[in-house]
Amino acid sequence: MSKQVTLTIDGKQITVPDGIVVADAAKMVGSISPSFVIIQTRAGWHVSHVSRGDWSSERDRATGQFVMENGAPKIQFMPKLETACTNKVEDGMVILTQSAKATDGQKGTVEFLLTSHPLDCPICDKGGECPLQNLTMAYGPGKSRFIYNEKLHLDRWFRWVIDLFGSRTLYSCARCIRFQDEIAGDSVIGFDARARSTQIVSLSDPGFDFGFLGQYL
Amino acid sequence: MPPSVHQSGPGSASVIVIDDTVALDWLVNKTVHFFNHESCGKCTPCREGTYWMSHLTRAYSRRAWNNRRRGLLLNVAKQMQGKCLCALGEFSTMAVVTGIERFRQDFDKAVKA
Repeated sequence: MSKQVTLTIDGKQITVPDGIVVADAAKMVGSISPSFVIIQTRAGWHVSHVSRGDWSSERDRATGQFVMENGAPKIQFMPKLETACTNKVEDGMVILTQSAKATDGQKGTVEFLLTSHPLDCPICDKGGECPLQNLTMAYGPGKSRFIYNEKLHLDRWFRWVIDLFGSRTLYSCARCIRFQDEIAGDSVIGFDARARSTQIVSLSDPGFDFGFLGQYL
Repeated sequence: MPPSVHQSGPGSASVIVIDDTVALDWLVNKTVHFFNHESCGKCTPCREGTYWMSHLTRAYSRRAWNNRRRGLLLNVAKQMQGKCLCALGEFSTMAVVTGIERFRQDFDKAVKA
């Protein structure tokens, strides 16, 4: 049997297998922590934030005594929000997913994510069953403040299919790169640039063969 | 003028000496573009936030600056604070927040222009 750890999420104590991430533990107790990591990726883009306790109690700096709250030592949380989908559970953790600070972080991060996502839901294959749509409905803002019309790169739409993937996708999962490396055995595509400029390119000569294109979807 | 007069800190882990002929809105614009270029893109608030801020500060040169954009710029910067993985994202907001809060007159001039 694998090692078990006990932690507290939104006031509920739970014992879970060691090694899982906080987002999965939150789902077990019914505290759905927003997470957009839907597949295992090499570089995990993250959405969700939770307040994370460092399982120590807050002390008064002058006296050194524990600061009490509701008859118990007050939990001293880390000053910054942490990601639920990249941090693994630890014994004694105290996590808040519904605090004002956490919900503010969730709302803000979803808004940031939407700034780089094309508004093509009506013609997207994932429309209606999209994790990002669900996240936006549950945690995101109702109105966009990002007014710049540069989310959808129509000039690339018909031109270069792999470029299309790199331009449209919200996060760089490298799924097609890994497929090309490990399954097709033809390592001819990869990432280029960084941050918002990240795109999938091929510099192969002769040009990239689309024989396995259907497997990428 | 001693630094304690304004209690400000545009920039990150560095001292920027400028005279009073330099408009802070110009300095903020330069600083934001630097951080936008340097962002690695691993964490969402920094990757998207620096890009958004650079878009907003770019409005100076287009003479499209207004009070709404100034408020939005400050809001985006504060929305990034405390959420980035590393210090670069946190630093990128300092020039914006202190610049707008403590050198408001420079931004007001840009609005009038």
